Amino acid sequence: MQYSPEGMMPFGPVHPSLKEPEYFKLFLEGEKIVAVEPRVGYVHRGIERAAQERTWVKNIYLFERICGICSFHHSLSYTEGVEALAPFEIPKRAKYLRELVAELERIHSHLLWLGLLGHWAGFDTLFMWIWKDRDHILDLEEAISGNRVNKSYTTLGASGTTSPTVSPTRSARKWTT
Amino acid sequence: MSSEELAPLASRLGGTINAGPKTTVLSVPPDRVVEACTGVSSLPGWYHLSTITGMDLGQDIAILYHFWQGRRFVQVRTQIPKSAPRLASISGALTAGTLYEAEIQDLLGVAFEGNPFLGKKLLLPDVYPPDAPPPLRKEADPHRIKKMMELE
Repeated sequence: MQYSPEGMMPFGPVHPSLKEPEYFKLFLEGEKIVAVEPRVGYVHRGIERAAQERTWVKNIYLFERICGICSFHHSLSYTEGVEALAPFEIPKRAKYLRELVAELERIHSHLLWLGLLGHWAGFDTLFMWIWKDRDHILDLEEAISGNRVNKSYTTLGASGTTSPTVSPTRSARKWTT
Repeated sequence: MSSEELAPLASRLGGTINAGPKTTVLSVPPDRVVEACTGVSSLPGWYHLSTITGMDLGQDIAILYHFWQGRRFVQVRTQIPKSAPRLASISGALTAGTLYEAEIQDLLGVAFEGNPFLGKKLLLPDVYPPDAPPPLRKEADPHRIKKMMELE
C-alpha cells in the first residue's frame, strides 16, 4: 500500500463516534478518501498468550472474561475443546445443565441487542421494555448459577452444581405478570 | 463436507485429508496454500473463510485457514519453518483473509507476500521493540518484553 496522495488525515484513536479506540489513516485526493490504513489493538488484552501461561482450570475463568455478554459461551467452547482432546465422556446431566444455561444466555443476548437497536433508533421506551424482560432471564441465571454475568457454570468434564437459591419457577412467574 | 468431495483437490495439490467428527483437515505444502484455499472456497456453500489462525510448534509454525459452511469446518493446514517464516498471501483471491493475515504477521511474525499489510503493523503498538520476538512465539517472554518497553 504505497500512496502518494495530496493529503493524509488522521481519524482516531479517540473519537466520539467510535465505541472503542481505533485509528484510521485517511489518504485524500481533494475531498475524496482514496485509501485507508487501519490500526487496531489499543485495548488488545493478549488473552491467547495469557492462556498459554495458565493452567487448564484457570483458563476456564480467563475465557469467561473475553466478553461480558456471552461469557458462558466462551468458557463452554474452551471446556468442549479440552474435552475433545481428553478421552472421556461427560455426564448426561452436565450436558443438559450446560444446554440450559447456554440457551438462557442466548435469549438474554438477543434481547440485549434488540433493546439496543431500539436505543440507537431513538426509541428508548422499546429499550426499557425489552431490558425489563431481559432482567428476568438474568434472574433465572442467578437462580441457577448464583451469578448474573460471569456464571462460572462449566468446568472440565462437568457442569456447575450450585443448587438454586431462588426458585426458578417464581422468577418465571414474575416474567409472565 | 465428506472427505470424498475434497479428495480430487487433495490429490491435485499433493495434500492429505484427515476427517474428524466436525472438522475435515486438508494439509497441503506451503507453496500450494493459495490454490487449496481458492479450491475449497469455490466448492458450493464453502465461500465463508471464518478465520486464519497460527500455532507455534517449536521448530515450525502451522497456519490454519478455517472454512465454515454452517454445519462443518474445513481447515486448510500448512506448516512453514520458523527460520524462513514466509508464505504467499491469499488476500488477492479471498479479500477476507487480508486482516487475518495482518494479525498473524503481528503476533507470529509470518510475512504474507502480496498482503497490503506486509511490513506494516495492525495490532502491535508502535513502541513494540523491533528486536523482541513476536508476542505469540514460544520464545517470547512477556516479562522481558515489558522490561524492554520500560513498562516494568
